[in-house]
Amino acid sequence: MISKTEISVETIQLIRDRDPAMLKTIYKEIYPMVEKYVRENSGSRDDAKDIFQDSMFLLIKKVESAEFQLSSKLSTFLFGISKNLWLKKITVKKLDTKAYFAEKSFLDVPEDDDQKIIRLTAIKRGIDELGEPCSSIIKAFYYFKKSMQEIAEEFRYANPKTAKNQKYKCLMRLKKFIIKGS
Amino acid sequence: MSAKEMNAFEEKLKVDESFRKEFEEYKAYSTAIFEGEEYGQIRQSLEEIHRDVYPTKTFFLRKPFLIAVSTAAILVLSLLIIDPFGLEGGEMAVEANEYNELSGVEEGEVGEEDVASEEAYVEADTNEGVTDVHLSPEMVITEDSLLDAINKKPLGTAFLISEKGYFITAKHLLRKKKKVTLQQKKLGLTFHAKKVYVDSLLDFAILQCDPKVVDHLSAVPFRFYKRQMELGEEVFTLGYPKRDIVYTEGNVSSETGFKSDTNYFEISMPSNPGYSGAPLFNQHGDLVGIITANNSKKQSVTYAVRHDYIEHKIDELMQTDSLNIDMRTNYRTYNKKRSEQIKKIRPFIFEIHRF
Repeated sequence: MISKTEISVETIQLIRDRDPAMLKTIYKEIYPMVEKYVRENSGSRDDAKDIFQDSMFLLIKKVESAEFQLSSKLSTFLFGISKNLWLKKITVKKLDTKAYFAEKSFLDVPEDDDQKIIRLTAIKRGIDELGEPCSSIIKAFYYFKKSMQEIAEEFRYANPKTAKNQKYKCLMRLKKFIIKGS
Repeated sequence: MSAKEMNAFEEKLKVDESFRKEFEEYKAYSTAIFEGEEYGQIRQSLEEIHRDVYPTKTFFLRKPFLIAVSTAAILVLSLLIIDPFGLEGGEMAVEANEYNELSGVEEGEVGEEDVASEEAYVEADTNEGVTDVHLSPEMVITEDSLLDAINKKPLGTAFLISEKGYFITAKHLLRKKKKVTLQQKKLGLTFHAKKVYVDSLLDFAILQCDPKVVDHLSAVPFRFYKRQMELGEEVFTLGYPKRDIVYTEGNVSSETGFKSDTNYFEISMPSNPGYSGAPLFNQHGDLVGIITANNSKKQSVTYAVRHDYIEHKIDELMQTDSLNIDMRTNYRTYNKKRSEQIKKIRPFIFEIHRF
């Protein structure tokens, strides 16, 4: 039971490596708590899943940074993020402001978590809405860090220069998407 | 990039202001894109874990795919709707008496029409030689209702849209009446409401009661739907075709109403007198229209006023008249289960009775 104990160095390393077995264990142990909380606070199962997965993402990102330190239990930490995200979400939707302000003071997680998720969701949606081949080219270059040479071969462009040209056009479109989305 | 190029590049960054800015902007975009895609990738792997841990629950259709499917469906449907024989205006030829307003009691009648039909039925039975004439349970109830005026059959339905005590209903229920009685048996409420607005064009009207009456109710758990209804969308309603609230569901079957009236839409749903003025909700519990009439010649064809027209009218009224139909505190329920949705919505649906 990882959730009951203090988080160990090994656990942190496994999360940092995004070890599937580790993530699954965390998922299994902590998701039910979050689902219960969200559903008790006017959310659905899908909302709970969304919130929890966003929290897992934030956990992974937090663990990756060098100055990460965790004194509380993993479950407390992850549940805290989920709770914060959900309360923010229902506040934005004007569902239940009172609950948010009542609990706000007990939360020690950074305030901008939800903003980060909103920003990243907008970018991801932008990338997906670009359509092909733009979407794949952008992913190949910026995420998989492939060279223009490789991209030119993969997408059958005459030479890296043509590929670069295409990528530039895609980037310009993506910029528009992101600005529009945010 | 060679070391020499690198040096030259860094030198240029120091010297050239606009070049540096451009480079930084580019860097910001490329990190943002990386982070966004990384988020997507992590979410996807978590989604796989979720499906692994809770296998039966979720089947995911990705949004772009859904859009593609619905566009295709609409295309196919609209192709089917086009009359292959060019008999345009065929619907125009039908008589107007197909359009059947759904008020519970006709103007000027006492409201015991169903007793009459019940009796006719009993008579027919005896004519056929059935000697054992018995009262149907339905008839016993109507006899009771003669004694108890409260239990009489409602004219139709109205529903609360604002905590300030405003109700929406169908205008044909009101005709010459200035005031009506509203009732919600479950809450034990019976009170009067006055007519404050009657639409000149469409079949809807707004009633107002003393805000104190609805003070103790919670905030209204639905809002106007913000988008257009699509063909085939699932809808449901709660109304008073009898003395108790009744739930019915159906689907949007046409984007236009009787004789292709674009301010209405058509639902494939059975409806009975008394449903007039009943709110129509989509599957998420958003208000999408008001039921006004059905087609007496066709089965399961019901017409409803479009939500966007009503919302537009209310906005107009807020600006020009003194009506303060404040809908800001209305909220959306996030219940996926229909019975939970109904439990929330139900207290806001009222019977209309003669004043």
